[in-house]
Amino acid sequence: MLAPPDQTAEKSCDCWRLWLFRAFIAAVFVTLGLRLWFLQIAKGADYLEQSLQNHLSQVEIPTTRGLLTDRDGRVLVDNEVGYELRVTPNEVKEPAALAAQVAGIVGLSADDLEKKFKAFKKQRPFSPNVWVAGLSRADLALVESRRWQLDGLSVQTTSVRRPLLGAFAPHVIGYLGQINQAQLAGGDYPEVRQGELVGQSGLEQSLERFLHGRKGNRQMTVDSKGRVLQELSVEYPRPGHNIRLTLDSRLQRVAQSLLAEQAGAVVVMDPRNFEILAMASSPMFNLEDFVGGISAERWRSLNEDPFTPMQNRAVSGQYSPGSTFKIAVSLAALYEGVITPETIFHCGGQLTLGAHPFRCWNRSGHGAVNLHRSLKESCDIYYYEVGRRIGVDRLAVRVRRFFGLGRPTGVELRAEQPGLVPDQAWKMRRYGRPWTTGDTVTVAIGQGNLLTTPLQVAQYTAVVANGGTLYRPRLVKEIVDFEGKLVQNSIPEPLGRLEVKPDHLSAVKRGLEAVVNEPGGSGWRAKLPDIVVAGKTGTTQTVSLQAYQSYNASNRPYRIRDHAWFTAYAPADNPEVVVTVLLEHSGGGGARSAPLAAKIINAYFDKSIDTNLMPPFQVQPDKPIGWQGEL
Amino acid sequence: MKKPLLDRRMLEHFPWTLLLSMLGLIFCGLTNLYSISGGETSDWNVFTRQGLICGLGLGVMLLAPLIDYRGFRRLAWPLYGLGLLFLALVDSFGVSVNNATRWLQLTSTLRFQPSEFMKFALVMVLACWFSRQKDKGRAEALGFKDLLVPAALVLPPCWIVAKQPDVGTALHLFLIAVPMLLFQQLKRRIVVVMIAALLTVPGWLFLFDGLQWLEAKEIIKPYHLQRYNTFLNPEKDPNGKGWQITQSKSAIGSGQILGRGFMEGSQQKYGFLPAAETDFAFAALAEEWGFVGALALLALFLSLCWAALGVVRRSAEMFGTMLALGLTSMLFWQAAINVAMVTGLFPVVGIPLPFISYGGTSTLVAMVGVGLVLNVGMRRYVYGDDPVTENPKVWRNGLLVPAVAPELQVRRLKPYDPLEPELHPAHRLPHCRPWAKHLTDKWLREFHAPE
Repeated sequence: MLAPPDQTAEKSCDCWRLWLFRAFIAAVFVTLGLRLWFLQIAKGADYLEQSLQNHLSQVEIPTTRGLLTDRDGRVLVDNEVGYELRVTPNEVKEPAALAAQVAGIVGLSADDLEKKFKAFKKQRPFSPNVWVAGLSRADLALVESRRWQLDGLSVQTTSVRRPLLGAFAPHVIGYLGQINQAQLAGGDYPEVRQGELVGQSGLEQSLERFLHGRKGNRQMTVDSKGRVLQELSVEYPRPGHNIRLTLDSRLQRVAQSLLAEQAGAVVVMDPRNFEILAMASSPMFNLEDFVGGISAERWRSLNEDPFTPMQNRAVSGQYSPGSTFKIAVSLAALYEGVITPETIFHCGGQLTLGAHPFRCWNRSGHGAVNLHRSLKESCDIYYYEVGRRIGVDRLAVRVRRFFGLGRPTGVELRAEQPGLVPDQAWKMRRYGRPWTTGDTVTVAIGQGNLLTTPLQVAQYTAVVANGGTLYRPRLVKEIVDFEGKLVQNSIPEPLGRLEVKPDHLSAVKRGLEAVVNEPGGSGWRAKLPDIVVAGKTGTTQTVSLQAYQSYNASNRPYRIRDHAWFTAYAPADNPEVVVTVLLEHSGGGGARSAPLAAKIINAYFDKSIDTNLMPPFQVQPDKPIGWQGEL
Repeated sequence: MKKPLLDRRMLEHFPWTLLLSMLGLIFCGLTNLYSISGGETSDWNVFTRQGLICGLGLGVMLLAPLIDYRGFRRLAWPLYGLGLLFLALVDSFGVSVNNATRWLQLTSTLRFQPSEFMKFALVMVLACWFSRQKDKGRAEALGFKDLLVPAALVLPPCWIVAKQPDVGTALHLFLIAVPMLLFQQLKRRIVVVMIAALLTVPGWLFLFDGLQWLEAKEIIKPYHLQRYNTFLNPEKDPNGKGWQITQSKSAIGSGQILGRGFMEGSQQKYGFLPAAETDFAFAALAEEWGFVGALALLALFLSLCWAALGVVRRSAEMFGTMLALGLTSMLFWQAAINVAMVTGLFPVVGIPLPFISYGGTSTLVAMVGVGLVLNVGMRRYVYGDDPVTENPKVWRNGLLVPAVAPELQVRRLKPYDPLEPELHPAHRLPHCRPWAKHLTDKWLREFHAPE
């Protein structure tokens, strides 16, 4: 038989210790198994996504913005190739040396570059970061020639917006800026990301969706070093649409030149279809300043300038229209039957309502005044009387319906202001006081709370000029895509119709003609030898009527001088062009604005006038004439 | 009677489970490396090299069972001395890779990592010392004084290796010794002190700023602390310090249940998984084979440990027991630490996964270790081949055929006693020590019992 189990006593290990060790090993492996369960099953989907993100790389292919041209197809805003120097921090061995070398090439401070580099290293060490934007071609050549010793650098071509004519129509064209938080949150820019440029004013802003195009993208698999292993799919970018504006660059240049050293606005419009041929606002700014980002100093200077050079006075400057409003009042009154062209009121130089005297600008009075003479000589008493008879509510309803006042005209500019046509309810709402006849007569001569923009004044002038149709003023003539296919054509959109009798309308038109062409007309300075100009002067009081009584422009401080209006169309029998001029704080409309309007009309008809000989544009920080250092 | 090189009983007692688990692991490892090397075999790449190493290791393992493992009892001390010498050489002549001096350059292509060799030497010398205590007939449990010797054996190599710096291997060396110590009968106060230390030291280190204190005293280096912090929150710096572990976790996690498929793991293919062929090979495997594959691998490791512990249990001789235990402990800790590290349960220390990670020395060490355990397992009949205590179930079956049992000629040896003439080495295991007949009593006394 077997030997007795005498060896059991010296069996080398105690069973319980062995089982303890086995239990420990099993516990460890179970723990590891549970960990694997957690990683692969509980969180597996997340990790899979993370892993896919790792090696699938999506690179955006930038697109180019559409061009802006004038009505003749001349390019106003172009794109040009820019270069930016990018650095991938992880691939750089000696940042200090590299920064010094790059600083030597591009002429920036090495410390700044190094500081930027450190920020990149912290945030995005594995991807290229824009180190130097706006690299010139010469610098580019230097960088490329030393590429072999500049590890981690790459050069990326970009598209840079370039306004070709500097200060040409800056308010209309507008500029680009980095998208801001409100715009990002608003959802109007679904494809734009933080840090990208979008239009921030003018047409660049309002036509953003046509101009910006669609970015392309390229899907690739990459390895951990960022090398491309395989291209999976490419979606090519689609450039933005090119937009032809209605602006006539020659007229625009004329308008801007004439506004030199004046604060004000000019609108030139075709009354037949309401295409805006020129829209100038002064003081102006230079769009070149915004190329590659405007400097903080320049930005502050533009924003803090008391003359608000960034404001487009033609659409967002709200002024009382002064006597130019008499055109609208007379037509409203004729429509309501309050007067006929033959109605005569007596002007004694003063109308007393209650205890309050309302005076005519001609203190000795015009005597017997009919419609024709009231327009020609701009008699205030006549329109006081008309205002009293029609009443403010009827007047407001008519001017709103016939001329689109009190609401935005609908031109393609976001900065546009609606203006204001006051009525009884408005005054009660606004001031809590009832409307008085005094308010009515003030509004009837275009003063008081009535507010219009120069574009709105041009608009009612054009309604009269084209025989009574109100269209939407337009700046865009057509939108074509990058292949030249028409995307959107712009046709006149009628918004309203002036429903007055033709003979009433022609009576008003004759009155406007007389303003310029008859002796004693207030706008005689706008008379041209070959062309019959019709127009209306206007002078907006900036202080109360009392101060107006002792009017003398030169001895008043700048701030309370009158605004000078002149709105005109020509030729009088078959109008082709409407010109509205507003000069801020410069004096009487007939004296200051009418000559400017005449020059613009002359330039419209006489193509031989060389615009290059005209004065240069007034660009901020120039100051208007007559300003002596305080407002 | 001349002992044959191979005995029939050696094959009868051969621990096949152990061998099969190891072969399974080698297969998994090679499959994984094949995928990592991009499915190419012609090149002189990691797959080819690892294949050659495994072939070499298997060859060694085929031959190793022919030698009786008990011979290493004599070689333990010289090997340990040699290990220390190598470590000292590394300190002065070693090759630096990534700021760590861990290798000795043998030829231009061949590099040798003495710390791996040291694991062996340490296991052997500890097994030798502990078994000697038992064999000397020591009845009482070990006290503090008795532990000075194992401490003196374990701590110096740990310290040298930690200085290289290779904290992972130092920790591994220390952990190898722990089960070997715990298998001894220890006096109660030692157990009490150990439990107290186990409770207080981690608390002091992690809750009461012990780590900062150690850093201030320059016992540990700042980067150790940083590694620990990275381990705590790798998301803080996913592109820098936490890169490895973040990528490893997303590789493992993206495998989900069934894996991305063989040769389809994108993390590893596109180079996002760092050290995919060495330390993070498990992550690559888990990515391609998913939860099922990773669990299967863990099961293979578990079965390897289980089988090796079976050898530990059945081996009736103390040296063999301790040797097998030490080697099991070596393999177990290596696997556990590596998998824990790759799955983010343990700080990143450079410990490869045996049989799976690419690496000549570590693979050979692991295979030779398993070979030794096989050796111990197949030679157990020499001592306590007692089917009753060993495996009652088998014995009950054996009762049906009782005729076989008496035929077993078992030569049993008593505990070694140099004064017992019957146990003179000259009479024992002559096939292992052909020179034994020249040994004298005097020599034996001096060599084996210096007291």
